[in-house]
Amino acid sequence: MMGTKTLISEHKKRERYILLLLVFPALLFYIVFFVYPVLGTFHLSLFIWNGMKTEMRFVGLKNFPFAFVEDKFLVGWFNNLFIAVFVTLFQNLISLGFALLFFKPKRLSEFYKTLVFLPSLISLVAAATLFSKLVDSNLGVINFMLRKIGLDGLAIAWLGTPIISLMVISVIGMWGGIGVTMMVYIAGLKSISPELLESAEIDGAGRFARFRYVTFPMLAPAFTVNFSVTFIANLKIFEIPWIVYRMMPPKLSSVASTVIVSTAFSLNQFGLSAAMAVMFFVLAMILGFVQIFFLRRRELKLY
Amino acid sequence: MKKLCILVLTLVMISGVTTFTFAGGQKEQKGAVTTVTVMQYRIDIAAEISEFFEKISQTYPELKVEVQSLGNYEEGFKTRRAADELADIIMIRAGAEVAVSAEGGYLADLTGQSILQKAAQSTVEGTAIGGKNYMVPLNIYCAAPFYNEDIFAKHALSVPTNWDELLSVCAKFKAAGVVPVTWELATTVNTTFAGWEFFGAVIGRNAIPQAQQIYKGQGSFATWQPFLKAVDRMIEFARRDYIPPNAQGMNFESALQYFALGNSAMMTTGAWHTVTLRTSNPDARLNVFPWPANDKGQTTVIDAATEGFSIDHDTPRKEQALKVLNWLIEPQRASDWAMLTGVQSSAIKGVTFPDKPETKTQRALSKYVDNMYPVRLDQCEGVPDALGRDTTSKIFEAIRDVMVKKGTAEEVARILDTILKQNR
Repeated sequence: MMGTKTLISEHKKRERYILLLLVFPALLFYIVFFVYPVLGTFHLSLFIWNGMKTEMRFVGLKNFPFAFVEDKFLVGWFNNLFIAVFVTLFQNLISLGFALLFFKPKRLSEFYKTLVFLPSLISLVAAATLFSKLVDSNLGVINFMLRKIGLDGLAIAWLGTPIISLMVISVIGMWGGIGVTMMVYIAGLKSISPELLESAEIDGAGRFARFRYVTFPMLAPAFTVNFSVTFIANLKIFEIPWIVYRMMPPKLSSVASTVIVSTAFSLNQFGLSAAMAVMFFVLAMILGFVQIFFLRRRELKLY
Repeated sequence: MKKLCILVLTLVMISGVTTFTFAGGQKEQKGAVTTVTVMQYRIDIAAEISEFFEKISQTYPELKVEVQSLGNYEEGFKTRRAADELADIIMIRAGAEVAVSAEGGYLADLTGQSILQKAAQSTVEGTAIGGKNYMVPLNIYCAAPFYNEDIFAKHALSVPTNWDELLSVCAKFKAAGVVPVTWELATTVNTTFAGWEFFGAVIGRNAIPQAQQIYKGQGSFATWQPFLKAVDRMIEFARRDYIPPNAQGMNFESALQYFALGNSAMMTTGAWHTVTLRTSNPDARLNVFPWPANDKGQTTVIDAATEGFSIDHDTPRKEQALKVLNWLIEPQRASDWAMLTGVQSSAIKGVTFPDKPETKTQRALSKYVDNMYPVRLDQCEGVPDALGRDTTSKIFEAIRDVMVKKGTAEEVARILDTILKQNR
């Protein structure tokens, strides 16, 4: 009896070693390329360093309140939140609409699905470059067409008008992201049992009622995935304003990441930039957790 | 068999060692060829630069130059500097790069060396750190206003030579439906280029000591009259609508295209954008002139970024390194170097650019070499580098914002004084 127990515990021990061995490469990769840089950034945030001199001056936590004196960083944060909320809402709304339109196999539905998905295959850098040409106030196609049809008043400075410029950045992000979120919703819709919908129909539920009481609750996991991924991805948005404004976004269109990068590499204030990055990391993490917590709770409620 | 193999191997080793020692000894005996190392960052033309330096043996058979091209120069330079393993000769940029290296004691003091007399006095003075020289200035990159020769000819206008003429020319262009100056305001790039030019022309070299005092808390931008005048003259373009409509919705790249395609008569940009302008519209006949931003006219001060060479502080080959640099700055060779590196102007006296269409802008700018000073507010001695660069970038940001609102220079000064108060 004892022998069997020993054999089982030996087997478990060996299994644990094998598991550890299997996890080790990924863990090592995670520590070297994620944990270490994060800790390194926190360490750097405690110093004043211009990136040129070899000596660094220890200032403790003094860089942190100083980051808030930088109004550009706070404006960047507001802009980040605006873009994240705007894109999360509209991208999900639009892609859900597309998913509902195309998930049933109809004539040309595959073609339309491909059409909506195609922008997701284009790199964000290319998309941002393309859009920056389209929305240019003087050489851009959009203003050119508006002027051609006599709507000169609408031919505005898209990249130079507050809020509008953020919407332009958001639209570029959405254009590239709708395809993927649509596919997640389509997968969610396909996983809903047709019997459920049929029984609802037999019970007299109309099209809207079927969506409201059957489809929508059953899509809760897809919502959680899409809302979290879109929100977090747009909270750390960087490439679009960086490309659209050719590395120099003005204050009205700056986001936290562009401020962090320019503080380090244009102004040579690496300590301050690291402090901003730490705050950005912590706040993004809190927001991400809060969002996932509420979405999970909603998921459970709907089930 | 085994013994035979061991014997053969031993013989091979002995003969190898003997040959190596003998060859080395011969080289040592000759003592003729000294290798001087040069560290440089132009990896786009690394092979051409190596080839260029190979020619030194024709003049000095006892010298050989080994070019070390660093891709990520800033990082590579910092690392090698920290390890005190710099090359004998270091390609270096005026400003923070030379200031920090000189302050750290990594560069040889070249003050009073005859080699510096061969460079334009303006660049020698402009690149000095604490009154001492640590670099031989060679190339000049400057911001420069371009103009479209065809548009000027079509409206029978000539290039303005002073501020009043500039305003009058702009007014005539505006009346004829031509945008006088391309000036984008979506980013601060255009404003920065123009700003250095205006500061250089209006404030001149007094900019550095005055800015230094203000950065340190002795004085204010609001009471610095030449500064206010320079900023006011920049804002004037927006106030009078001499820039493209909706300029705040146009980034720098679009602005270059806008100008190259003939939508406006003038544009201020880095002169190194000549290639981009030419590529955007090969038919455009573009030329370059200094901003007549001051009242005195074209004998103005042009802001320039200078690049050159320094010598490592503890190289045992300092004499040879100086020889290499002396060889490099012979006028014809400096001209070849300028053509190879594609600079706008050479800091070396007597350098001429060949009479080719593609060197038109270089030849035009070369006339002003003696007036090219690095009037960079962020290169003030004694001012923390971060504060200097940060404040300077905010100067242009504030000017850009005020231009969008068509405000006043006083608003810019107020913003800057507040920023400095917060940062000090």
